Amino acid sequence: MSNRTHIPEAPERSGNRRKIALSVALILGALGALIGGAFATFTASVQAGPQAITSGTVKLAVGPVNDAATGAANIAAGDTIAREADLNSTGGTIANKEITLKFAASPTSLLDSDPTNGLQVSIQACSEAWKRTVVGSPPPPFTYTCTPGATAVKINGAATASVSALESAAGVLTPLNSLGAGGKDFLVFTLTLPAAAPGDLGKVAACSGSSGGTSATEDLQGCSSTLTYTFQATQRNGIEQ
Amino acid sequence: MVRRARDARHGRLASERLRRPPARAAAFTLALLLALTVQLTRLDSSLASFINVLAAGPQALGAASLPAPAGGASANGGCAGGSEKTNVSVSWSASAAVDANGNALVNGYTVLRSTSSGGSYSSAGTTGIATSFTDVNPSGAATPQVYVGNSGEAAKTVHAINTSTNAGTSITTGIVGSEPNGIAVTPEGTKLVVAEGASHQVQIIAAATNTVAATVAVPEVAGVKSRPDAVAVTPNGLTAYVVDGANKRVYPLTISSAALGTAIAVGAQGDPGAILVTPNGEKAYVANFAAHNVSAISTATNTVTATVTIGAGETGKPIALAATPNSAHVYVADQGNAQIDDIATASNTVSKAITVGSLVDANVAAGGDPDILAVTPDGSKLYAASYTGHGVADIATATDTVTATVALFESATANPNALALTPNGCQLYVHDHAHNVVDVVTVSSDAVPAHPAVGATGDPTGMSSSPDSTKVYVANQAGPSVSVIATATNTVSATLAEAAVGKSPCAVLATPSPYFYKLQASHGGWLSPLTAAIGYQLGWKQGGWQ
Repeated sequence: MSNRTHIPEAPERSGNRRKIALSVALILGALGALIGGAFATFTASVQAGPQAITSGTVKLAVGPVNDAATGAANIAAGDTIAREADLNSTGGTIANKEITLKFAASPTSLLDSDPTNGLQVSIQACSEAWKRTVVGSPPPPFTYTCTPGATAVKINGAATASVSALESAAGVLTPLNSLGAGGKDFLVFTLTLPAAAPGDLGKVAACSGSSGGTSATEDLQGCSSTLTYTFQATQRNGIEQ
Repeated sequence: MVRRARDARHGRLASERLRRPPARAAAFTLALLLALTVQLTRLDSSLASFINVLAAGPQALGAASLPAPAGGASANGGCAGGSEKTNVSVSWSASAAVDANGNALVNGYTVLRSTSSGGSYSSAGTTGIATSFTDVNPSGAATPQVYVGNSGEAAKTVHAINTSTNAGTSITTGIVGSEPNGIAVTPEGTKLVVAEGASHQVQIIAAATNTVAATVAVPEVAGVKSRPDAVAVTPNGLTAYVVDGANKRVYPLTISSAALGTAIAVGAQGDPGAILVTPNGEKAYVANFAAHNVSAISTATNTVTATVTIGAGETGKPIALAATPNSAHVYVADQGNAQIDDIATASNTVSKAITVGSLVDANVAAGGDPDILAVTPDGSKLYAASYTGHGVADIATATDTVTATVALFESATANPNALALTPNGCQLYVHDHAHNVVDVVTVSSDAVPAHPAVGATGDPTGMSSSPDSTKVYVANQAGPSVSVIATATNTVSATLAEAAVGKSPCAVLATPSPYFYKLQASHGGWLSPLTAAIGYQLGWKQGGWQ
């Protein structure tokens, strides 16, 4: 028979074991958090609070005026097509970091795909609702006036942008009241076909040629495009609450 | 010893443990960071930024396509600016389309001019939204030539006179008899077709070289030799219609190839004389003098589509023809009944017979080809020379009524038997066979401000205005000479002698100075397609000698 002698563990050894046990517990805790409630454990808990936490909402809408669906026919070089499309974040509770505009065209043509000779867009804002006048009979065209005075809304920091560029990548619109929760923007989007857009049907067939061409190589007459405006609002950066 | 040994081992292990804690702490920290990273990654993926996307539109956009101007037409520009000028008026219809801004889609027009239909066009001017343009005294066309037919001499010639220098070039034509009988020029003035009755042939003269380019025999029929009497050219310049008076036939002749087509039978008793092609080129009309009728030929099928009786009871003697510029009416001089018949070309019926004085022409008996009808370029007036009526009837084509009888210089005894209108429609020249003068009539008023003397008694009556309306050439067979009347002063500015005009000038025909126009609509820098060429052949006449 062996006579085993109990040798008490040294205090350091006991502490290390506790640390290892704690690390394992933490890892298990982390894994447990990952796994969620799949592996319930016997716990004892206390509660503090309750602390009501609700997520905010980013809300962007078009209106009250939306003329963006009103097309235009017989556009000629130098012509402008102005359409009011208001933005508002009424009902939203979170301010926005940015609001962007992106175009999509279907069908597409040189009107929208030619960055140089195709349509260019600019945006004007009014602090109140625009006064719209119907010029055509039947409408369009429309003309809009802003009593307090219109201000420019920049697209990626520029006064104008080509529709083609905004088909490739969304442009950030600034400044906009809609960036703030509940803000409203009364906007008029003006599409302009450059006066220098080439078109000589005696030389080039209608709506043919290469982008950025001349009257000897490109003709924008007879082109048809249907544009969809896509606005995207993105919430502000996270803050400490 | 064992304990010491254990103590010793323990002490060694303890010392090792004392050295190992940092490594374990690192492992612990690493595990902690791993867990935290996993947690944050999970949090990030589950809590991405809030976004809201919405679309507006679709907005259908259509670019305009500028329509080419429609309904283009050319006309004489009138007498404004002086009768010596020949302005060309071009008009067209406006587009009703509006642009995206509600304004007129077409806000400008460009008028382009060339001197040949297939040539290079350059701007003659622009307009705003106006749909008419007057090309004032256009220039640039080749110098016109006046062709003088010589008859009754051993050497049958056509002389070409340069209207700028009055120098003449002799072109030998025909071989026997009194010819040439008829001559016509293509609208662009490049070729002349000469009917040579006694030689039973047609010759084509190239105007550029004044040489005979082709000689085309007109066949005999059942032993009867042909007698090409008259010729007319279609407005497109492709076909000449040649009248064989002996065999009562008309032949289409393809000018480019000098190929004679299938004969078209006309008349019944022979002797078809005058022929014209309507300005729209759709029909040819042939006056069958002895058959008392006029044949209408479709140029599309080269068949007779109608035979229009002239006069009642075989009394009609159709001797001359004239068409309105719109091709709606063909007027027939009925020598047998001293009247003018108006044939409505749409129905080929005589819509009205207009009584005038005697149309008997002394030259008819001598085989001449009197031209006693003249329609103004705007189509509003028809002038008919009344030989024994001693005057010229002014007939309003709108009503087919005689509105005035022009009082000639020798109003009681004048024998007017030939007419020549200047292409600008400002002045009418009337040859008075009895008094060897040419009466000048102001078309707007029918007044006769001048009557320059020409030639001698018995002279034939050939007259023709230069395309630019500045000169009128009068053939004086007995001279032999050709008088040149300056229309600005209505005096004889030159008398061309035999060396220039030949031994027996009996008729003259000026080649046209054609101008062609194309139109283009514009909106800013955008341009429509060019229209087809709109021709205005100054001085061109589809018929034969004037």
